[in-house]
Amino acid sequence: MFSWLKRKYKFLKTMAQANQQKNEQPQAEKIPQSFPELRAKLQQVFAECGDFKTREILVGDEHYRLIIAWMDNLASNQILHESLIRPLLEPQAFCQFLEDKEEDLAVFLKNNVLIAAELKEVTDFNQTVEFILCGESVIYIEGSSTALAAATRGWETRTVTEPETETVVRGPREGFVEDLAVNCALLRRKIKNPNLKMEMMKIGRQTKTTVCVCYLKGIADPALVQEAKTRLQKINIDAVLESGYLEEMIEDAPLSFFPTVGNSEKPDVVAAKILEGRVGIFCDGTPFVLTVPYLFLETLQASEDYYTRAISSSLLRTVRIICFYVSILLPGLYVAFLNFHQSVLPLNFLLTIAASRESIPFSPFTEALFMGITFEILQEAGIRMPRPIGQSVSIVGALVIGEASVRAGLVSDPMVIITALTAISTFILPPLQRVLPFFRFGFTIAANILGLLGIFFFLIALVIHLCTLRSFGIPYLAPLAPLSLSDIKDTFVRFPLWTMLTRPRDLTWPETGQAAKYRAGAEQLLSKMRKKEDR
Amino acid sequence: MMTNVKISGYQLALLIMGFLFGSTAVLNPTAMAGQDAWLAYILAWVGGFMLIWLYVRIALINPSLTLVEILKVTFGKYLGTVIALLYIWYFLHLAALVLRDFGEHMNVTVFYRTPMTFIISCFALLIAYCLRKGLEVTGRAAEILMPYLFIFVIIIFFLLIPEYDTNNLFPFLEKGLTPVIQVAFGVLTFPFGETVTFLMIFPALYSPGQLKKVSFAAFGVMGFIILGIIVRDLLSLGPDLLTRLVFPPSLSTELTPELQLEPLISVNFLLGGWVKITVCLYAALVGIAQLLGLNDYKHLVLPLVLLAVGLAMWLYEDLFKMMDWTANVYPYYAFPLQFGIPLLILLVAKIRKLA
Amino acid sequence: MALNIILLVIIAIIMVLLDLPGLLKIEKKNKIKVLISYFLLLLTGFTLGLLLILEREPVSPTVIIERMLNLILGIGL
Repeated sequence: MFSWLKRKYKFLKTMAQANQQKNEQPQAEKIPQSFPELRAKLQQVFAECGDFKTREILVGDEHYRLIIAWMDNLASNQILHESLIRPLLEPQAFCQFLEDKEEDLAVFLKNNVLIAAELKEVTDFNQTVEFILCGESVIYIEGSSTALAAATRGWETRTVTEPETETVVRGPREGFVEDLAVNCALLRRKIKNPNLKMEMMKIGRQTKTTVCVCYLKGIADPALVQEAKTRLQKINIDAVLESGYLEEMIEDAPLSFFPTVGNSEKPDVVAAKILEGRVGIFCDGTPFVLTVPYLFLETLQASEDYYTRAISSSLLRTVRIICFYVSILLPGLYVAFLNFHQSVLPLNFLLTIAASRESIPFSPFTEALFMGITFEILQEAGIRMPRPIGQSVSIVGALVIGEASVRAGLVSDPMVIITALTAISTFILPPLQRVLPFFRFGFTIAANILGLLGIFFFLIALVIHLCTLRSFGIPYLAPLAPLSLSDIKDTFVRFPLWTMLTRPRDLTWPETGQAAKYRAGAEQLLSKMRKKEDR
Repeated sequence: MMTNVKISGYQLALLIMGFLFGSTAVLNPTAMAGQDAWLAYILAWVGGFMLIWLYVRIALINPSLTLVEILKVTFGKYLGTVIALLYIWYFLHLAALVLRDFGEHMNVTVFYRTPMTFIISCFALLIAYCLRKGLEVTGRAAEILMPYLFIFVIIIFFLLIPEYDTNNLFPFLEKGLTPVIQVAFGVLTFPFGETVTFLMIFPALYSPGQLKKVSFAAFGVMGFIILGIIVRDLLSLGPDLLTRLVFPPSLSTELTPELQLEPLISVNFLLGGWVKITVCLYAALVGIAQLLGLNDYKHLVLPLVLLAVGLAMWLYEDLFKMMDWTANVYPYYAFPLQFGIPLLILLVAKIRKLA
Repeated sequence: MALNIILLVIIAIIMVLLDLPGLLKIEKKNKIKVLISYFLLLLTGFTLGLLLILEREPVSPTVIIERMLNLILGIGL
């Protein structure tokens, strides 16, 4: 078996090496000066590409020939006409050039004729191809080895709407869209600061997806930013269709149940995380933006915690922590108490349970397992079904599984209550929603073997596992373990905003982390002194 | 060697607290002193402070050296190795002892028909996992788990208030001071003296300047909590019942009105025992690795845990043999290791300094 | 009893299988030392378990400790 694994491993390794070699950038290539050659080359590159358009124009008293090349619908026809073609065909446009004849035509076009917002001079043919594929229009000039790339991007995008995954009662309702440029703009509107850096890179051998690494210089730890960038650069796959691809390639513990890379659909959430010193990773084509490092406690935090008053959001935090325990422990505790620790329950309660379990042929464990699996099936069906049919799923679930199975004597009433409670609790922690059921089953099995002892064996093992995890070098359970007292302010309770004087110590650059504390303290003192002086 | 492992002062304090809590709070070693249990305990507690002072002194004189290395430095290569082997055996023995205590407790209280080997093996599996992940992870896990232990102790203490009867404290010193001192000597060796194990862990402390503060604080806090437990058992059960029971806390928690909180005692035992066994086996593993001159102890975890489980089953025939042995033989067996040899180390260091 | 022995053997085999990849990776200097101590410990544990299952365990070390203490200190136990 081991030799087989070894061979498999070697095979994967050689494959990875081969891919590495394939990933080399294509060599730079000069743009042909003669047009028949250029036409042939474009034809060869874009053969059988139905959406590739070119147009030849004669300008300057028909002395000069140009080819404009673009991708249909990627480049906006309106911008193309208004800012490129119309100025070019303007009769007076070339008067000055024809008189002087000193300047290079490309420079003249760039400076005097074209009115596109962004114009780049390109000398590499492969680069022009890349520009065309990104939605820009490229103007080739006969007899010149320089081409002009004009920003004419303008494709159909979804409008900014409220995301369905993260709804809030109070707080901004806008969400990211599929277009990277729009997303970057949404973030920039939140943080109007030149220190907000956005570094673009292209990932994916076939798709050449644009990925943007976004961080706040001076707050984010430079080592963290570097680590994120190197991990992204090491990615070597064919396609990046969603940020999930990136997540899987850069996460620390791919085999763990717990996510070590966070994602969000809301600009305000991402902005808050970047302001704490995290790094955001935008991926073109998806509204889900990744944030690293992602720590366990972030699953308990919601953006609304910071928009509502501190007391109410602290209470909600507590509720969420209770929900976390309920959703993983409740069925296990039920099994443990009924199997091993009957004496712990008050007698009256025990009698009630016994009465409702009288006609049930199965053990509590079988019941819990049956109901747990049923619920998972219902949930998955509810997500996958088209929305109109989803309603019927809930009816089937509530009536058939809940009501009928109790009446048929398959499950007892307490078990239905427990399943419902666990299910609802799971929904309160969306990032862990897909993870918690596994632990629920694990705890139920452990409880069936060794009762409460089994549950605690499993719990300790789980805590040890969580303690071994790290996300981009930061312990997953920080700031609880290792304990950092100054960061407790944003864990089980949320302190009022005016007490949050320091940035998270685990995340930020040490210089800003500790120094910021003293600076804030000094500033407070200064302002007090100034007030006194004013009097 | 294993100096790259670093834990914070808070983590070390939690490990010491968990270690002291260990099986102490469930076995209640002061029970034999009857109504004077609290006095015997306080005497032992004071002695415990002297012992930890001794250990801290040794650790400060030999910074970044573990006990095995200190022994080699102090007594020379051969004698040092022999004594180090003695200590490794002691740590292993201690781990096996706690494992057996745990198994017996579970068998007596809840899992009457589950084979003890199975319970012990499950526990050992957990500890093996923990040891494989290393001391840093153990420390961090302790940061998460130890608060539960304190919460449970406090809950039980306050829920039992209606059952307390102050008459249980009298008559004071009925049989004179001698039996009290005898019990106090027992308590000094179990649990306070057992912290000699931490001489293997002190070098891992991130900032050695904290060592004294941290270990004294841990002794103070945990000593106070155990005092609370002992007083709780004494006040709720009475001296007569206390001396007859093997696991007094299990019975005293059953007295809680309207509730039965016995499982909390088991869970506390689990948390404390987990820390204690992990620390003991870690010390033994590091000792073995250092004697052999290895960089990493992790390869030896599984066989040593298997050995510890075997020892746990082999050392004692039954519960009563074990109780008898721990009460009457253990103090004399452990005291030289806990006090004699450390004192000798300190003296040798002092003489060398003078010379 | 037979079942117990089979279980013990399975546990020992699983342990070796779990550890072997790690054991083979150690640098040459320490390899022999680690391998010898590993299998020595494993063998001790395994033999102990086997003897316990067969109920033919030798005298427990606690008894030996007790006798030695008796000899040295002369305490009446």
